[in-house]
Formats: sequence, structure tokens, C-alpha cells
Amino acid sequence: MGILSIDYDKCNDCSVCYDICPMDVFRKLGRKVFISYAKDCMTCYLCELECDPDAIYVSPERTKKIRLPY
Amino acid sequence: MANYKTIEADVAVLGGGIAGCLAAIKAREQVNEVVLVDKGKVGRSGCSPFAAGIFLVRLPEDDFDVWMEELVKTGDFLSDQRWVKTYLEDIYPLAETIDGWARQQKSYIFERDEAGQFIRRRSRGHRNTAHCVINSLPMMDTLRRKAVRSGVKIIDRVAVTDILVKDGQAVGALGFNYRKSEIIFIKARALVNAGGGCAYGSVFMGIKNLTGDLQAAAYRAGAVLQNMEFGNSNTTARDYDIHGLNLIVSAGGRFLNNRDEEFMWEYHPELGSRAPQAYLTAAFCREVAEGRGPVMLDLSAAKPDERELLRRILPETFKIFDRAGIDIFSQRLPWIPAFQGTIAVGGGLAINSGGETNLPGLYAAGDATPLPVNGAPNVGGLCLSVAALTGYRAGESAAASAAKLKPPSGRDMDREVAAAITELMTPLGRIEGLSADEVVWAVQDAIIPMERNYIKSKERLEEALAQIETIKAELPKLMAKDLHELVNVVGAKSMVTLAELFLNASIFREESRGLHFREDFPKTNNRDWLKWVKIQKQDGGAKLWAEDIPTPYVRPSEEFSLPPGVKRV
Repeated sequence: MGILSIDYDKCNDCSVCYDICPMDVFRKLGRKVFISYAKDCMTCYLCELECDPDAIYVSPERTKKIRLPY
Repeated sequence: MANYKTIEADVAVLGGGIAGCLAAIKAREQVNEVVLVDKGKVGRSGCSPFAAGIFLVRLPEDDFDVWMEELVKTGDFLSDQRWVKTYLEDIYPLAETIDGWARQQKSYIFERDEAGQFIRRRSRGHRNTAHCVINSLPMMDTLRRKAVRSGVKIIDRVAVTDILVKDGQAVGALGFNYRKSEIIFIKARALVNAGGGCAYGSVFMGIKNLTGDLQAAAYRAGAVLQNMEFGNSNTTARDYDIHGLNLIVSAGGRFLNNRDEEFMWEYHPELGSRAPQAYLTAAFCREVAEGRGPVMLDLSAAKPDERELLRRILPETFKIFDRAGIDIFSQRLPWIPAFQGTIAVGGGLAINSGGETNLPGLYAAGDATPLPVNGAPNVGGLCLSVAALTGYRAGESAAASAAKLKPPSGRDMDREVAAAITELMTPLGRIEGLSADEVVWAVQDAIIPMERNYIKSKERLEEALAQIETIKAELPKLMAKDLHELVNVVGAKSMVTLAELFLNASIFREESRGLHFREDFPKTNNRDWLKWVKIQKQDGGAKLWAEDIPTPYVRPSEEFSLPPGVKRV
């Protein structure tokens, strides 16, 4: 699941999510950030934690099937 | 006309976690032009931002010999003891230096009590040692700001793909800025590889942008790797990427099997659920293989002040618990081994006590190396502090050597750079083929299963190797539809390279030690295998050899002993 949405009613266009995302999930159109590569989200929550207006919603479930040891 | 931009530097640091930041800051004290480049954003990339609150420091009042013995023994005698000595002497002043930078910036890193002393805890593996508690994100913010204020030139969002060599010397790094659509050749008198390890896209918090690109690039360039048979493993929730296990067990977290037994006491009678990582993951696998799974984490014993500390130090993990509707203090969760490949104590670039690799001009630090102090998974908090120290040391050595050399000249690497660019761009020229995700899954499927990773045998390792060979043959079909996907393709290729080395080294070491358990050689064999396995690229494949581990201070007392994962009682 990973990142699911940006609430543009709350988003203040600060771009901090775009700036810090280790997985390069976001892209920008003008000043607006949008979710471009949701399947690469690693649910690290850095974007949500640093989003002052609380506009981002990340689901804790992993985005990809990962091989487990058993 | 070349279609790339050249940046010249005295020292180029590749990778901006704690090791890279400290290397750059230290190098800048001695030379003018220091470039620090990262695939993500320096300060929010790699695993340092997720260091989960623990940093091991020997304070001046702690007994040197007691710490020496505990670290070397917990490291299963794989440590470079010369590095352990340096670490025990130098880590306290370095920790105070970093915390001092934070105070100057009106921030703080280390948790302290009312008297201003470091708060310390005993978590995984600590008997006589104890770790400090830190705030990881403020730490990384401090280091980034310090680097900027020191005059380090930071370049974010550049995926470095190649380390280029001329006349046997590392002379530069090639990469691309995937957001600016720009190819960059960083030409430097000395390079510090602080690009971390390869986590193979596996489970755990915050490790999925670590794809081992710079370990693979260094290997292709001729650097020697060491300890590749040891794939690092932590533990995490089966269904979520949780971190913070040291603080969790120090707060009273315990692991239970399906009979409600705290089984770790049988595998590690002294520490139980606080046993070092290798004991935990091996025991988890035994319990499951023998029908006593799943393993559950129970954190109900945590006291109120410990609960508050966990929430404060591990904000990412508690976001996950809260969002998933889990009350970790009343609810048990299924818990599994989390393979982490070459990050932390997994293999990496062999370095000497100055942080130099065998390739002139190339230095290495942090998870890009096998962490020379640690050996096997050691006491909690050692990885981060050794990453810091090796970074500081490598930055110092790289700057000293850069100061002696002439600056690199002109465009004399044009041909090599052009060839590397052509190779890099090939996947962009296809509209169909293999995706990076398909390769990553195939690599995981070859090396992560319990019977190839935690309970190995020659036969099963060879099966895994055959699977990797099949994937390798398919790599020319890799495709990327844009530069973001090209970053993933580079990562997938690096994983294939490193997975092959993991398997070859695992076959080579015919004993069990640390995270390497061979069913066909089930004892730790100090008589024949007190050695490091090293690997170097040569024509037609990899050359492997074993080198004696110097043991100047602490020696094993037994020729043969029981490795982790065997019941003691």
C-alpha cells in the first residue's frame, strides 16, 4: 500500500516531502508535489512526519511482495 | 562535445549518511574542494536517519580491557582488533564533538540526564558495555548543516554508478542526477566510498534505497571485498517494516514461540531475548523449522517511562503501529528475521587502519566496509558509532593523500566515461524487457530463503548460485522508461553482482561463525578458520582467498565451539 494520498486542501506547497523522500516517490508540477512512483514507497514515514499541515497519508502495509526467509 | 558535466575536487565523498558526512567534514579541514554526493538527500538517505536511537560510546571511566574483550568475543573474533583499540580510544571525543556541533546549532543529539551525563542502556548483547541514546534525525540535520557551514559542496540526487580507474588508481566517479537529467563525472584526487551496503530490497525500516551500487562499482574497479559470506540480519515484524529492536529489548521486549516459551534462554542462557542479532535470527529459524513458530514479540513488560522513550526515539515505527491500529504494549506481533545483506556487519570493502582500500586513491567507510570493529553482529549501537569513526578516519586519510597529489588534469578520461555512459543508458533504449522489480524478486528468491541464508549447505548454496547465473544471463534485457527507473535498474544489477559474491564466499567458508551457519560444517573452527575471506574480481570470475586475522589482544580459548542457533540448555 505505502503512500496513498496528498490532501491538496491541506498541502501548503512547501515541497519538504519531495525534498527528503529517500525513494524518489514524488515529482512536481510547478510548485505542486504529486505522487509519481507510489510502488517504490518504503513506508519509512519521513514525509508524513515532516509534513506540517498533515496533508500526506501513508498506509503501513508494504508496497511490494518481498521474499521472507520462511 | 562531451555530454556530461565534470566536477573537480580534492576529495569526493560518495554517500551522505553519518560516515560520508563525517568524512567530508573532516577532509574539508585539510583541503579546499570537498564534494559530498548522495543518491537521495544528504541527511535523509541511507540507514543513518533510521539508526533507531543507539550509539555505543566507551566513556573515559569505562574499563578498556573489559570493553575490548566484550567487543572481540561478541564479534566472534572476526573484528580487526587494531580497529577495536582505535575505536575504544577515539569514540568518546568524537561523540562529544558531534554533540557539540548540535549544541552550537541549538539542537541536541544525545539524551542526557539532569546532571548532563549520557543516558545509557543495555540492549542486544551488552553484558558490561552499554550504549547511549540518540535522536537520529536531529543528528543527521546537524551533520548536514555542519558540512554546509564547513564549505563542503553537497550534491543531492545523484546516483553514482561507476568508479573509474586510470593507471591502477581511482580517479573519479560517474553518476547521474535523475531529477535534473544530467550526467556528472566527479574527478578527484581521492575518493571516499561511504555509499553503504546492499539490503536487497528486503524487509526492515528505511533500508530500501541501499542497493550496494558503490560496493559493486568498487568491486568492478578492482577493490577487494571482505566478509561477504556474512549477510547481515536484524529482526522485524512479519507484516510491517519496524526498526528499534535494541531499545525494544532493553525496555523488556521478549520473543515467544507458539508454546508461549521465551525460547531465547535456551539459545543464549545469559541474555535471553537480549542476545546478539546472530543468536536471535538463527534461533527464530530453528524454532520455526522445528514446528514451534511463529515467533511473537511481546512488549507488555515495558514500564511507562520506557514506553515514552520508545515513542520519542522511534517516531517512524510508532507511526506504523498507530496507523495499523496496533497497541504494541498489549498486543503480540509475529516477528521474523530481516535479511539486510551487506549493510552493517554484512561484507564490504576491506580497509586498513587508515580507511584505505587496496586501490590507490580509494578510501571506504561505514557500511560500505564490513565494519572492521564489529566482526559478527556485535553489541547494539556499535554499527552507527563505527560508521562515524571510520568516516572521520577515512576523510582524514583521503585529505592527507589528496594534499600530496597534483590535481587531475583536463578531459583525459573522456573515452572511459563515454563507454560507461553507453552501458548505463542501454536500458533506456528499450520499450520492452525485464523490469528492475522482476530482477530484485528473483535475487531475493535465490538468497533470502532460510535454507540458503540462515541454515546453509554447500548443495543448497550451489542451487542458489545456479539461480543467480540464470538471472545474470537475463540482465541484458533490463529496461527503464525514465531516469527514476534507471536508478532502480542500477540497483538491481548491483544486487546480482553482490548476491553472487555472498554465495561464493558462503561456499568458501567451511565452518559456522556469526551469521554464517553451515549445516555441513556446524562448528566454529578457530583452528582453521580464524580468517577473513577476501574476494577480488579477476578475468573470468572472482578470486577468493583466506587471510589470517591478527589477534594481538584477545584470542579464542577453544579450537572448536558452538555457533549461534544451537541450544545450550
